[in-house]
Amino acid sequence: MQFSEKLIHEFLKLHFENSKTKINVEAIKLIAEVMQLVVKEGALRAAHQAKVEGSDTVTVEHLEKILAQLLLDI
Amino acid sequence: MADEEDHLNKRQTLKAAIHFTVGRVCEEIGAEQDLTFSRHVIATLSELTSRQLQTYATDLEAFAGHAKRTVIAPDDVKLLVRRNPQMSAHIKALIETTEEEKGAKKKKKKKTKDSEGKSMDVDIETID
Repeated sequence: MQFSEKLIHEFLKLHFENSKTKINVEAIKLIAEVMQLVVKEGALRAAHQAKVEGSDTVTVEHLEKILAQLLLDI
Repeated sequence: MADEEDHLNKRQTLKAAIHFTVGRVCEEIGAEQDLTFSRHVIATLSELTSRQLQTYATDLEAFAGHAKRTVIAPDDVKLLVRRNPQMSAHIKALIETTEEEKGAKKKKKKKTKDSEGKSMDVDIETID
């Protein structure tokens, strides 16, 4: 599952401070790729943590443990 | 007032779309690893994603502004991920491949033009 380019474009447009700011099509594709990697990395790290603890459900506790390092890495 | 409401609605819709995508990504990973992701994890991850995207929006705008542009270019994204060496290398490689593809297309166009030129030369010759 990929982030749709339209979604990324609309979301960015909504959060620009200057209404004149525009964005290149290639740049949107790259940002979608970056976001995809961020989500995947977070999910995989949380999944790994759950496995290490011998659980078959990933819970917020697992996510909490990997969150700090994840935020430093992205 | 109506404008503000529209704005809020749009924000909610976009956030919901992000939540949907994050949920799907987690599902895929869960299926691969025989795990289930709790709803809270998906909600937290999507909140993180939308906050991250908000920061990216202002950062990219600032980067483009610093380069005296109003259009955000792929180079700004390169600058955005400079802190993570692996991500930086990945994005650089992606930019290079798209540039190569573009270059190949341009060459093709040039070639077709050249051949057109040739056929014209021939025409002129036959007229002579």
